[in-house]
Amino acid sequence: MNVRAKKVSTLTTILAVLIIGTFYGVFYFFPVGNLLKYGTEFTTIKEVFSSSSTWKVIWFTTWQALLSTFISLLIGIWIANVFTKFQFRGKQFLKALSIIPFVMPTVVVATAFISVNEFLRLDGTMFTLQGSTFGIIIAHVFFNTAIVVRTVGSIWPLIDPESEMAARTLGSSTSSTFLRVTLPQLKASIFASGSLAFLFTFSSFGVILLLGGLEKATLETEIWRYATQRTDFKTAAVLGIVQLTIIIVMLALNSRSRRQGAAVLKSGTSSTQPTCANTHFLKFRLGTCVVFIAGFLGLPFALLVERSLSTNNGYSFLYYKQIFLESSERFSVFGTRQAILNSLMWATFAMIIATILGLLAAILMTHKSPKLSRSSDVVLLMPLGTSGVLLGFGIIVSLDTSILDVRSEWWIVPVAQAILGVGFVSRIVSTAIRNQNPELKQVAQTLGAAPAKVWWHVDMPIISRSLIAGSIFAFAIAIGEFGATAFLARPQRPTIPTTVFNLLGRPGAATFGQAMALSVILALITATAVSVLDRTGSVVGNEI
Amino acid sequence: MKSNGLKVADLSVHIDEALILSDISFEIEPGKTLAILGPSGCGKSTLLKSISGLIPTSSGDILWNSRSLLSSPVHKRGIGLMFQNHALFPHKTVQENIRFGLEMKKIPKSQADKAVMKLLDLVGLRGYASRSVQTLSGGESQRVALARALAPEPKLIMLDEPFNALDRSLRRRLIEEIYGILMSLGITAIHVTHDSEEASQIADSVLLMNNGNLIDHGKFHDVIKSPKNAISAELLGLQTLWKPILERRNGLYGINSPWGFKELPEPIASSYKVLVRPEKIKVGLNGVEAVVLNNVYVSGQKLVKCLVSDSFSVHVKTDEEFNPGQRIKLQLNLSDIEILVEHTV
Amino acid sequence: MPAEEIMKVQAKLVSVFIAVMLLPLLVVACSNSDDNNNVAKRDCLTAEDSVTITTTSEDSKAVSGESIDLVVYDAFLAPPGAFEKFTEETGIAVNILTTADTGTMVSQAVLTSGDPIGDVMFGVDNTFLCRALLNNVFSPYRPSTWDQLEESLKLDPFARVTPVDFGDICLNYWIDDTRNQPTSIKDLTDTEYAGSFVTQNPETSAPGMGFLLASIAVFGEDGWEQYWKDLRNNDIEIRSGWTEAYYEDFYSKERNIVTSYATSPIAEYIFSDPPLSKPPTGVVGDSCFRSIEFVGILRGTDSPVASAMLIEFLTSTYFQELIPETNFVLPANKKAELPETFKKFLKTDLEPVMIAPELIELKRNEWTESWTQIVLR
Repeated sequence: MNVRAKKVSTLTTILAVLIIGTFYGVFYFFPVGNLLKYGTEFTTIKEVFSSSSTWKVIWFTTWQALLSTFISLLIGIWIANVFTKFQFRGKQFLKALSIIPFVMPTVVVATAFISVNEFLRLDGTMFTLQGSTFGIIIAHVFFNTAIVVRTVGSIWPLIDPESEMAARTLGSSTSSTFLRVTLPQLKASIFASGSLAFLFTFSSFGVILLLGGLEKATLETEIWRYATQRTDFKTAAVLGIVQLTIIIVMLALNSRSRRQGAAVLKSGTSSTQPTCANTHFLKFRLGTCVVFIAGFLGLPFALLVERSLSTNNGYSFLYYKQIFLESSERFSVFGTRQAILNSLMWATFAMIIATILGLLAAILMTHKSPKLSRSSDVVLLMPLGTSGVLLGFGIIVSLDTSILDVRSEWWIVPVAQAILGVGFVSRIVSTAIRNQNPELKQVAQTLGAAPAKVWWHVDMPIISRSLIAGSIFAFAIAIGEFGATAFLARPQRPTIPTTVFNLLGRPGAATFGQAMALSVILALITATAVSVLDRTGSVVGNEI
Repeated sequence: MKSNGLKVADLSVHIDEALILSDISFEIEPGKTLAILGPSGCGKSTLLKSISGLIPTSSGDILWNSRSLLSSPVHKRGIGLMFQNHALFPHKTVQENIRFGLEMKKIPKSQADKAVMKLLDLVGLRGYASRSVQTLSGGESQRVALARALAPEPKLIMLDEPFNALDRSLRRRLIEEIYGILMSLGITAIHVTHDSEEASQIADSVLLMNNGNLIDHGKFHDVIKSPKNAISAELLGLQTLWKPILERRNGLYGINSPWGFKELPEPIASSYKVLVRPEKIKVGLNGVEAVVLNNVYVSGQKLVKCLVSDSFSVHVKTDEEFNPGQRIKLQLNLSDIEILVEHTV
Repeated sequence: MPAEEIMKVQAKLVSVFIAVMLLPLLVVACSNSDDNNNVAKRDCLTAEDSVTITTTSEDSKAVSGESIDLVVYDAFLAPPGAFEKFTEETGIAVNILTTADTGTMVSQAVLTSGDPIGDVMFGVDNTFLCRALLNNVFSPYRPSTWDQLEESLKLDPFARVTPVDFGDICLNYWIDDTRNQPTSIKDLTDTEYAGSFVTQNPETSAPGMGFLLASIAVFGEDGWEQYWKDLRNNDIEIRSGWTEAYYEDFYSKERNIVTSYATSPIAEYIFSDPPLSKPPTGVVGDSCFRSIEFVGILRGTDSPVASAMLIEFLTSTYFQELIPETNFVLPANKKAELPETFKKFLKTDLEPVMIAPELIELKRNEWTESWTQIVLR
C-alpha cells in the first residue's frame, strides 16, 4: 500500500474514532459517570460490601447468567445447525419465529409463561416456571436463543463443507468431526453471541422481577430497588460500579479469547448449501429440531394467540377489530393505530443509527492495531451490560444544559435504543470482516479498483449479510423497547409496548384481550420486518 | 537503453523482517510468456504479488516500458492476476465478475456488456452470463477468472498456478486454449507453475527459483540444454539425475561412473549431481550391464528404466521392447555425462 | 521503516479514542457535585421559605404560545381531548412526559431537584410525598380552586403540592364465587380463607404498599407483623406487580381475593364483555388505604406562570370530571360530578385508613425490610 492509501485509511479511522467517541461520550459515558460518582463515598462502599446479601446477589447474578448463556448457546447452535444444513418447507417462518421472543415485552412473556405453566401443569413441581430459578433460566434461554441462532447461523454457511468431508475420510465420526473441525471454525461467532447473551442475562431486569419470584434478586434489580424505590443513589451507584466492573472483566477476557480463536473462513470457495432431508435419520434430526422450536418458542406464543382470540362468547377476532377500528369511544384513549405507526418509525430510526454507527465501530474493532481493536471491543459493548436505570437516570441528570437539554426530546429514545444496538451490529459485522477471504480484495485491486471501490464492491456485499443480521437485532431491541428507555422521560407518543402496558394496567376482560391481541400484532410485525430484511440480505449480495 | 516490456531489476522483498526474495532480475519482451518454475514455498507467489504491488518491495525496481511502477498503487498498474483459487466474487454472476474491471475503468454499461459477451465467447462459455459463480465447475470458474482478468486489457497478466485443481487432460486443453488466446491478443504473461511440462508447453523463456533466489533464467531451449546446476535440472524435470561418488585418481578429482571415470570441471564445488539424458544412452551388444525394471511413459514417450550395477537406475530412450528382468547392455559416451553443481548461489 | 510509522499512528489513535470517550467522565469526576440529595433532618410538612408563585391576568395573557412539559408516571392516561381544550383556552401547549412507576418518577425528581425535566409533575402520592418535599422538589402554588378541594386531602398546608385525585386501595373479591367472601381484613387469616389471597410486594407495587400500610394502620405498629406471619401460614401468594396478581392469579380464579382498587369493580363492569348488569367483584370496606395523588410545579421551571395555569386547569371541574372514567380514581374537587356508573356502584360506606406521610417516610424502609423478612424469606 502506498503512502496516500495509508493516509486515507488513517483518516477514515480517525473519523470513526471521533464519531463513535463523541456519540458514546455524550450519550453513555457522561450520563453514567454522573450517576456512578454517587458511589464513590467510602462509607457507602464499606456498608455495601460488608453486607452478606450483596455477595449473595453478586453470586446469584453471575451464575444464573453463565448457566443461561451456556444453555442458550447449546440450543442456539443446534437450531443454527439445522437451519444451515437443511432446506425445508416453512423454514422462513421458523427463522422468523426464532427471533420473536427477543422482541416481546417482558410482561407479555411472563403472562405467556404462566399460561404455559398452567397448560403443562408445572406449577408446584420442580419444573415450575413461576417463582423459580428454573423459570428465570428458561425465560432467559427463550429470549436469547435468537442471538445465537442469528449470529452463528450467518457464519455457518460459509464453512467449507470439504473440511468436514476430509475429516470424515480420515476416520472421524460425525460427532467428532463436529467437535474438532466445525466447532473451531465457529468459535468466533460463538464467542460473539455468547458474550452478548451473557450481557443480557447478567443485566436482565424484567424477567427476574416478574418471573423470578421475589426471593431472587440480581444486581440489576437491586440497583433498581435502591434507586427508584428507596431513592438511595449512593448504594445504587456502588452496586452499579460492581456490575460494570464485572462486565468489563468479562468483555476483556472474551476479547482476548476471540482473537486467539479466529479462523479464516474462505468465503468465496464452496459454501454449505442447505439440502433436503432425504434419509430417515436426517428427517428425524430435522423433525426433532422443528418440533422443539415449535414447542419451546412457539407454545408460549400460541397460548398468547389463544388468549387474544378467546372472548366470553367463544373464539373470535373481536379484540383485533377493536384495536384497528377504534370504534368504541372508551378505547380511543389507547391510540392503538398510532402506537403501531410510532413503534415502526422509532424502531426504524434507531435501527438506522445503530447500523451506521455499528459499521463504523466494526471498522475500529477489526483494526490492525490490537490496542485499538481490543479496547473498542470492550468499550463499545459496555452499554449492554450497564443498568438501564443508571443510564436512564444518568441521561436525565446530565443532559440538561441549555444547549444540550435533550432529555425530553423525542429522539433521545431512539438514540438510547441505538446505543444498545450498536454493540450488536459491530460484534456481528466484525466477525464477518475477520472471516473474509483476503484474495478477493487483492483481485479487485489488480482489476483496477481503488481502495474505496474495493471496500464498496468486495467488502460490503459480503459484510452486508452480517450487517443486516445486526440491524435486525437493533430493530428488535427498539421495537420491544428495552432497558434504559424505560427510565427516560419519554414524550407521550404511544408505542406498542407502552400501549400494551396501559391496557394491562387496568381491569376488564376487554382490555386484557386487547393487550394480548396487540402483543400478537407486535410479534407479527417483527416477524414480517425480519423476513423482509432477511430477504434483502441475500438480494443485496447479488446486486451489481 | 530503452527496453520494452517488463523489467525486474534486483528485486528484494522482506516480509516481517524475513528475506523472502533476494535480488531477482529478469526481463520479458512484450507479447512473450515467461514461466516461473520452482518448488512450493520458493517465493513464486510473493514475486507475483510484489510485481502487482500487493506486497511492498524492499529494494530494486519494477519497470514497464522503461518506466518504474513502484510509485503506482495496485489499482493503477494495469497488471492482471489470476489466483490459484480463482477468487471469483461469490455473490456476483459470471457477467458481473467479468465486467468488474471495466466498471472500474468507468466504461459505459452497454459497451462493457458487449465486451463481456465477446470474452465469454473467447473462453468458450457462451450463455453463461447470468449464472451464479457458485454453480460453476473447476474448469468453468477458471475460464471466468481468465475472462475477468483479460477484460480490462491489462498490459501484463500473471497466472499463479491456476490449473492446480484440474485433471491432466482438462489442464492441457485449457493451457492450449488460454495461451492461444493470450498469443492472439498479444498480451505479455507470467505463468507460475511447479510442473515443468506445463512450463515447456507455453513458455518462451523460463525462470527457475529456489528459496527466494533466482537460479537460472533464459530461453527454455537453452536452459534445458545447459542447466546451470542440479536444482535447475530437477526443476526442469530432467532425467536421470543421481548423486555420484567422488574419487581422486592420479591427482585429479572426478566421479566414478559405470562407464568410467570423469574429471570434475574447475572450480571444484562441494557437492554434485550427475545428469544422463535418456536419449544419450544406447542399448547395444557391449557396454555396462543393466537389468530392465519397467517401462515408464512420460508424455506418451516410452522410457525404459534399468538398474545399473545394482546401485542406481537410469532411464533409456529406445523403441525396442524389453521385458522386466531382462538383461541388457548400455553404452554411453563419457562426454555425454553432464556433471552439475548442486547449488550455484 | 514504514512499520514504525504505522505503530505510532495507531498508538495515537488509541489514545484519542480513549480520551474522547473518557473526557466527559473526567469532567464529571473533577467537578463539584451539586448536592441535591442533602436530606435535611426536618419535618417534611413544616414551613418552607421559598416564594409562592402568584399570577395575574396580564401574566396569563403573556404566556400564550408557550409550551410546558407535564411529567407523569407510566400508568397515567390523559383524558381524550382534555389537554387540547387547555391549549385552546390558554394558548399553552402541553407535552406529556411519561416516566416509569411512581417511585421512579419521584427519584428522578429528587435527582434533578432545582433543574427539573419538566414543568409540572402529576402523580406523587401520599406515600412518596415526604420524600419529594424533603428534597425540595416543588415550588408552592395555591390554585384558585383550593377551597373547592376536599379538606382531608390537603396534606401539605403550604400548597407545595395540590391534591388532584384520590382512590382507595382495597381488597377485591369475586362475588359469584362459591368460595367464602370476606367482609374484613381479619378474615384473611382464617383457615377457611387459606389459599385464597394474592397480594403484591410493597416495594414494587403501589397497591401492595397500600395494603401493607392498611395492615399497619389496622393492627398498629406492634401488631402488623404477627398478622403477616399468620397470613404467610395461611398460604398467600405474593406477586411483584398488580398486573400479574390481578390478571394471572385473580382472573384465573386460582385466587379469589386480590389487593386492588375500590374502583376496580366499576372498571370490570364498564369493560365487561359481554356487558354485565352489575360489577362482578366486590370490595372489603374495613381496610382500604387512602391513596392521594398530587400535582405540583417543579422548582426551577422556566415557565412558572404557565405551570400555574395548568394546575388551575387540572383542578377545575372540567378536568376533574374526566378523571374517573379515564384513570379510575376519584376527583379531589368536591364540585366535580361523578359519572353515572360511579354514582351507581361506588361503595360509599368505606372507611379508609391513612398514615401520616412523615411517618411513612421515616419508617418505610424499615417496614418493607421487615415485611420481606417475614413474608419472603
